[in-house]
Amino acid sequence: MNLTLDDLKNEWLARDRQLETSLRMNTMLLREAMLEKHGGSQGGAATGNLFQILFAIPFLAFFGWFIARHLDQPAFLIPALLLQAWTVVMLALTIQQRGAVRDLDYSRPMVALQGEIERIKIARLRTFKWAFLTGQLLWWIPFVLVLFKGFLGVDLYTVSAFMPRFIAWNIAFGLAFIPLAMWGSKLLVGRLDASPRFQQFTDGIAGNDIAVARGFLAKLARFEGDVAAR
Amino acid sequence: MQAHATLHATHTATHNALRESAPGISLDSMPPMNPTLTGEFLARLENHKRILFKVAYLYCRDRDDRQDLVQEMLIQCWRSYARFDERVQFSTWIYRVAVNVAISHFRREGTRIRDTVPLEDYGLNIAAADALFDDDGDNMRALRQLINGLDELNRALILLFLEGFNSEEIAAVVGISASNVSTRINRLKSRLQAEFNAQTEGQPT
Repeated sequence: MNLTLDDLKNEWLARDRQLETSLRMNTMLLREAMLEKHGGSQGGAATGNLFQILFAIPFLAFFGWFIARHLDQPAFLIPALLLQAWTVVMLALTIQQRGAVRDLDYSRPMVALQGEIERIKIARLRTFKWAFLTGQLLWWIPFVLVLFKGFLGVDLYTVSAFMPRFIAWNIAFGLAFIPLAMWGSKLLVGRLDASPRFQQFTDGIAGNDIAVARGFLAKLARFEGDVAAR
Repeated sequence: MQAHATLHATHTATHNALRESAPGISLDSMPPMNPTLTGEFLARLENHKRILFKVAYLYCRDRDDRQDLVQEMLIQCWRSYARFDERVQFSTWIYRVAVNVAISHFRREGTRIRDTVPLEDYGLNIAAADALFDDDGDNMRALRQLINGLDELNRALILLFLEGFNSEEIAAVVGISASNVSTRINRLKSRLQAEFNAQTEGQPT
């Protein structure tokens, strides 16, 4: 005898009644757990934002002070402006994205909510990728130049005849590193099974995670499209 | 020094990106809720708690992970309840939350950030329900196996069909048109039916 899916549905629903009596919920305990957490309103996100702002303040203050003192010296002004802009942009993006995750409404219809999650994910992965790729450039030579000048009063451009070439080569290498890192990480996609964290990192730099997220968005769009019309 | 400086500067961005890959629901992010609303929520949850477990069971085979998933559903239901405005039935609403949490969980398997608080501390004991599913007959086991072969989106459709929802109700949970739901459900039914028949015909009598 062949069972139909509708017969199976009846079996499924019959089990539902048993499930109702099997699952036990201690309402008192749950209520206590919920009310105990009353004071922790959105604490995780707020704490994260506060920590990040506190971490960024010394850098922002230092770069701001440095910029004000070197307005007439483009060789120092430009790196400091770039570092200041990087810090402000990353801080703003992280806080904005953290807020977007916090405000997700899981009671929205499945397709809408999953699409929103995926778009936030793409934005955050993109932020991570470019934070790393531009960070490795900015937080080396430009940062060291600003740091030495700001704290020690040392002008690294003139400390030796070799330094300007060293700086130029390092900046050139930092710029070249961006496409190289993207290319290299693409080669490593799916090849680092022994180290999931590093694999996740290289996937992020290669943009593989972004491609996966875009693939899911496309899948959602196909799912949403009316199949009867095709 | 270059690597160190870069790592330091991008630490937070990295952390956030990893968290986004695994946007686990922190127990610290519980929303405030007044005692009256909490009581109202719990009363409604009491009548619909099995939904959380059924959705969790279809999306997560590992017992420990399933505990985490039910906990995440519970917390997310609670977080979202303040926005519940009766425009949809509570059962539709709770299915939406449960399915959304389950799909998010399903898509980030392996990279989750685990909470350490056992589900029992939240007053929900699902061990007996686990045992009930373990005792499922051959038909139910075969059906579950077939459902496990579906992707996360179609899994939601077939779950809601098995739960007895009509196309309009499924459309309200999933967010696609009712005609689209009907077409997709019919295709899924045909596919699962054929696979089920093939599977049961292959079994020794």
